Amino acid sequence: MSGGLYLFARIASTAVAISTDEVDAVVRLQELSLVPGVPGHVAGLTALRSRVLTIIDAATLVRGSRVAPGYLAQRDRQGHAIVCEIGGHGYGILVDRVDDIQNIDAAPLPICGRIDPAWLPYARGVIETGGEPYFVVTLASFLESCLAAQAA
Amino acid sequence: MEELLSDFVAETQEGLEALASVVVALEADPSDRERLDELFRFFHTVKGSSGFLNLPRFEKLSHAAEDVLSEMRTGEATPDAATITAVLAIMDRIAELCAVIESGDTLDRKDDEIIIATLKKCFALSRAGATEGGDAAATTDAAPVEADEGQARLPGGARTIRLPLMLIDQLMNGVSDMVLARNELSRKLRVTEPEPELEAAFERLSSCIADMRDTISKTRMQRVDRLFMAIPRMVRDLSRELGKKIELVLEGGDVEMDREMVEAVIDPLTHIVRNSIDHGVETPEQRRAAGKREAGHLRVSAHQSGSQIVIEVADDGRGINTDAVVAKVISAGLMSTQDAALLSDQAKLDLIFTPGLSTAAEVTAISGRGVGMDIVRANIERIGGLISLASEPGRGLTITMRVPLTLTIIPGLILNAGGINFAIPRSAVIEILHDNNPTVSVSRLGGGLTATIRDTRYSMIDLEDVIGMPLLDQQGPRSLMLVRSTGGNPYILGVASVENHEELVIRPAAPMVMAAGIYAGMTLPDNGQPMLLLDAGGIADVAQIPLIYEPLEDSVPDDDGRSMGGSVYTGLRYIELSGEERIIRLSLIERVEDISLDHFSVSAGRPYVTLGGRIVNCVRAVSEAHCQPGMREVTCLRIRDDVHDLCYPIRMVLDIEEVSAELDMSARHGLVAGLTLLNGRQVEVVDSMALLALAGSANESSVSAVTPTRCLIGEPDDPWNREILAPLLTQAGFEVIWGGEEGDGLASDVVVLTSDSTPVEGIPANAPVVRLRRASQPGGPEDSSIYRYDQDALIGAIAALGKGSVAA
Repeated sequence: MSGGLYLFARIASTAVAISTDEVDAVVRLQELSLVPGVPGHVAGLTALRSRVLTIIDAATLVRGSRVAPGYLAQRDRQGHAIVCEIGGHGYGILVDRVDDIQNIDAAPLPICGRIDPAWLPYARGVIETGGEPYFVVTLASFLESCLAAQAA
Repeated sequence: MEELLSDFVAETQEGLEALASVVVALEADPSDRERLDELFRFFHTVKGSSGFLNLPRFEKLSHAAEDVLSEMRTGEATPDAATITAVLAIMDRIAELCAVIESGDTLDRKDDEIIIATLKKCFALSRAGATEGGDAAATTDAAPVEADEGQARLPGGARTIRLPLMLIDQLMNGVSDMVLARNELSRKLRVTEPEPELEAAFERLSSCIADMRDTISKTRMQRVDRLFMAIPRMVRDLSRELGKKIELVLEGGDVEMDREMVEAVIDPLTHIVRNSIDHGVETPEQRRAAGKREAGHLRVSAHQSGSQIVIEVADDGRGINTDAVVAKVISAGLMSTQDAALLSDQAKLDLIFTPGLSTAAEVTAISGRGVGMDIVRANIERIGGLISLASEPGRGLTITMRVPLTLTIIPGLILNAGGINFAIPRSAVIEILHDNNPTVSVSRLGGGLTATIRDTRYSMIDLEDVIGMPLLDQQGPRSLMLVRSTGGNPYILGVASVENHEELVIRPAAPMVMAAGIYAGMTLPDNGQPMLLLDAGGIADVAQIPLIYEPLEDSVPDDDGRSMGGSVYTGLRYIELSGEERIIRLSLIERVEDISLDHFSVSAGRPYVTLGGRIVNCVRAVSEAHCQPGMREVTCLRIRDDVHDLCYPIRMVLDIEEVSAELDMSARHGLVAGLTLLNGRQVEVVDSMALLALAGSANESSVSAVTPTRCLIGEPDDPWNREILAPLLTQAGFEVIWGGEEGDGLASDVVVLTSDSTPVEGIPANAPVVRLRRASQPGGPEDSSIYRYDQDALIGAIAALGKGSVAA
């Protein structure tokens, strides 16, 4: 993995960087249609023009359980989602907030230190910008772990 | 180079598909030059391209076939069965090689050689045979001329280009975006002051978008030909294997349907055709013994009927032995002997769809059919289609599949449960009732719900339970939907309310949503709020409810009879062409469609309409004055009972309503049965019987021709009898005989008398008699006569008595 354009965001209060190759757009969520009968990391459906996006709550996915009640409802009104298209379906990955988009020339650094095991499936490396480290993650890895969690 | 290669593979595969039927036709008629040329050209092209692309294996195979065919072209040999089989083997091999190029696997090279060697050997044998016959050169003379013709015809036809499917899907999405944007604009416009100019411009935009949507939808369409392509080959191979002779007729290949739909129908259709040949059509010996022609007749046809494609597979084989099927179902423990005895013939026939029947190994040998038919039905129903059977034992079986034109747009019901809206395909829902309906009782035992509707017990589950949402308090009654599960056994799904009816554009849902097992897709209705489409079969599976339903009493399943009993039914409110507001039972309506004025005609005073190549009875004549200004289309209700089709032109559809089955005012006149109060307004209720009588009237002769009940009418001189009673009886399918005509009295089954008349002479003393009276109320408790304008009672009485006398 060499350098390139990255989107810097926060998921579950953790700083992450996502290669913009994967990102179609960042949208502010309007209304969510709930999807009952599926685990909590599927937050719902929303319409982006004529596309229907399946919204994945990355924070719930990483933490393994839904956070305090009301947390999700509150964020529905003001949350941002990163839109991507994977396997022919449109998804929106919920993030706490989006910080920046920047071109990073350096290749990601290896992960140092004992990180939270919850992040092990996602973190591929570390990128530093503005003196702060960000985990390099892929959106596809969130979707994979969604399906893996549901299959189990 | 990559691109050239993939083009080559795509073209070759298309060519192969198209040629499968050509080869079989050639075998049937070896002198058919045109087909031979077509085949030759294909191999010639493949040989040329593969040489250029450096694909030596393709080149060798096609070269071998080309050699053989070229000798046939010059007339030095004729195509015989063995050679054709070998040519087919070459084609199969080329298809395999194409697949290998795409997938990147490898295929054993040696097999190529064997296939080529077989072809050469077959051909050598057939040539030896031909020269012995000595008339090999007979066709040479005409050959060169025809070959030129064939070549000259090639470039004709419309120009086409090849496009990636993705591009079309993107276009389709773009158009959907436009539609949504238009809807939003329309909502905004409604809020502002009306401005005629702005509205005219908006109307123009709307119609452009609608046109565009239609055109784009057409790009997804594919000719049914593609569905039929594989059939001739399959019929040939199977009939050869089984030693049967089959004449195959394919009709309606130019009908178009959605690409995805074609894919979805291929498997069920293949299965049905295979069954027909395997079990339906008898061997030549059996056919001769049964007095039939040696070659079985198999007809596969397609036609469009409104927003549905009807695909029919008809054979003239032995049909289904219903007794054997019933015996099998009983012996498999799926039904008791008593229950089975109560089934109607059609219900017995439908038993071949019973799941579990197919697992019984011997069923093929005994009943002839039943293998996997439950799966065929499940597959057809999954795409929103219907399948039905018509069997004439000893004379053949016709299987009819009705599938929607497209997978992506289906009629759906929007319902609410736990505060969330869901959609469900209209085709999955049999009936909707309110839980306060007196014909429904719901009981709870150990947490499980059972609903009894008009003497039939069903498993029931609340949708909220399945999706883990709370049951919300609500003011009105909850709705119970009788829905079909995958296996065909219905169950009751309780929901908070059924809100609406809408044409829905269905898209596949993401895998993590599908994993829940209760959804079939998602949709974006006009309000722009995404919604999930429920899968009725999946819900039953996930909820693990037992799918049993049993009639408490021996009621014969009869849709009309059942819905009559309820005190509330669902009706469609519409405006008649003549302006009245009326209600019609929704279950009668197959669909609503706009039909062009050109299709209507009047013949001998009766209106007709031409639909999908058939002439259908029409309720009333239609003229240009009935259309919306500037339009040449009329909105029509398509009505259908189990036999007849009827087209009912109306001005416009208003809404779907829950209607009380009891009329507030009975006022029978023509199509109208009476009046009912709906939200405080009088609405005319359509008389279903009278309407369906119209549907049947033209075909009546063919239906009742079997054994018309003969009615003797007492007083031939009474003008009422002549002008009103006799036409009514004739229309209802009875044969009218007049009293006083010598000797005929004895031949009648029923006697109809107007009550004032004294018995006519010449009537057998014990003949059944129906008496009519002029007064609308009976004269007293002893009076068993029938009011003479009570059509239903009159006809019912005659029919009942007629049957009785036949039995006696």
